[in-house]
Amino acid sequence: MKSGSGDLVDRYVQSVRSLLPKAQQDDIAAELEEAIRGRIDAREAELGRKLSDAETESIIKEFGHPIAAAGRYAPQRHLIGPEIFPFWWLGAKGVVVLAAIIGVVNGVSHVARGAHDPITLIGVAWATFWTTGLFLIGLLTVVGGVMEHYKIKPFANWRVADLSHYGLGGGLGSAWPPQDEKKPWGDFDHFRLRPRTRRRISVAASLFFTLFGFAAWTLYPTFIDQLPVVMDPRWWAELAGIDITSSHWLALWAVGVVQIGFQSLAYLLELLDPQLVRRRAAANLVSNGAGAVFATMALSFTGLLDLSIPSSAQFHEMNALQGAPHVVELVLIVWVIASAAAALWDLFRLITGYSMRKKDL
Amino acid sequence: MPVDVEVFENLRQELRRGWLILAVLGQLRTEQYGYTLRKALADLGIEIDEGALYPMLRRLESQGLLTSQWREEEKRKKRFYRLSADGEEALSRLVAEWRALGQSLERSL
Repeated sequence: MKSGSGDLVDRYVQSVRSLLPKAQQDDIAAELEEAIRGRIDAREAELGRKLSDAETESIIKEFGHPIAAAGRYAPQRHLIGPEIFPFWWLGAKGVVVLAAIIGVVNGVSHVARGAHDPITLIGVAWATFWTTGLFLIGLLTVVGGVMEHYKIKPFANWRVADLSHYGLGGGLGSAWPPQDEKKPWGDFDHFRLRPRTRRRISVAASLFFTLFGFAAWTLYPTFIDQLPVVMDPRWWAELAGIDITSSHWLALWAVGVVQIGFQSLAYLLELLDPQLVRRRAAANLVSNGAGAVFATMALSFTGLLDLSIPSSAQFHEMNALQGAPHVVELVLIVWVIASAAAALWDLFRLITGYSMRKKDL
Repeated sequence: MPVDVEVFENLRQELRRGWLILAVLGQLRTEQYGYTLRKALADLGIEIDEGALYPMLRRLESQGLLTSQWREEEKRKKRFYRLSADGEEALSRLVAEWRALGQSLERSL
């Protein structure tokens, strides 16, 4: 049978051992045990007697808690490293603001729908803030972790001239663009498309896709019955317990036509003449305004205060989908805010004629 | 205003981190096991926790700067470390860096 101090050492070493990578367990544990016993022997030789359990424990404690001791042998690990962390942190701060806005909008919308109790307003806003904030920060962390794991560098190709677009540079870079910077790999610019050409190709592609979307949305009612049931919004509405009539659908469809139609028009105008900033802004204003109206209408159809799943027999087994209306609501709220913000920006461009792309023209 | 204790301790740890490796490599020109190495460093006035020393030795070994061998001494198996050929080369280059840095610092301090 082992002495008390031997038992303590064994217990400690086994605890550390269980936390070590399998391939190194025996080796590290043996070395650790030898180090501790060496210390104990030296102390006993110094004192000329056996150590008490308390004295042994104090020596063992110098090696640190088993988790910390095992952790020192592991390679340094982090989910998000110092290079990506500032971007994560900035994003997290933005998420907190966004979650607060969504919380307030959701709370106010409850009041607008008849909940006059201020406790409801505060409760809904508070709950929405936390659920949205934690969800988005979790999502941001996953994105940051993936970028860290795959060594994806955020904004690796940033330009000083672009900083003012993010409110970071005050236009300093664009005031002094280096015209003939030397490139260490030689000058391959003649193989590249000019910025304006690149931009026009991008606009043409966007126009193509929005026109395709416009055609598909416009013709949607004519072939809706031939589509699989999961592509039928009526099925989703029924599943989410949203009471929506055919006139509601017609109104939504019409607003959608306006939105995509004017978006296509904005791209067409840009393709024809990039200098038509104000006309393009006007088309975008109508499109984004229609987007905000579309999402607001859809939001009003969700019932907001009545988020229960219908109790008909066919939905009894779909308990897992009980959160779906909340998610739909959140998406729609974000949609309303984003469209409204974009519409405000378009209004500003319409009034001032401001274009961020002037230097590329 | 006196420097905050925590701030000073962090700066000291940062300063130590680099030269501690140099001291360990320097001591392992002759073969030693953990306990004697720690004692030799302590005799030179360089204190290092066992919790930090052993993982450092393994890391330096995995980087090819040290070699190790289990051997019995005083009726107990011990792991002896010593500088490898790569370790010798790295140490001489680090010492040169250290001396150059020291001279520069002396001029600036």
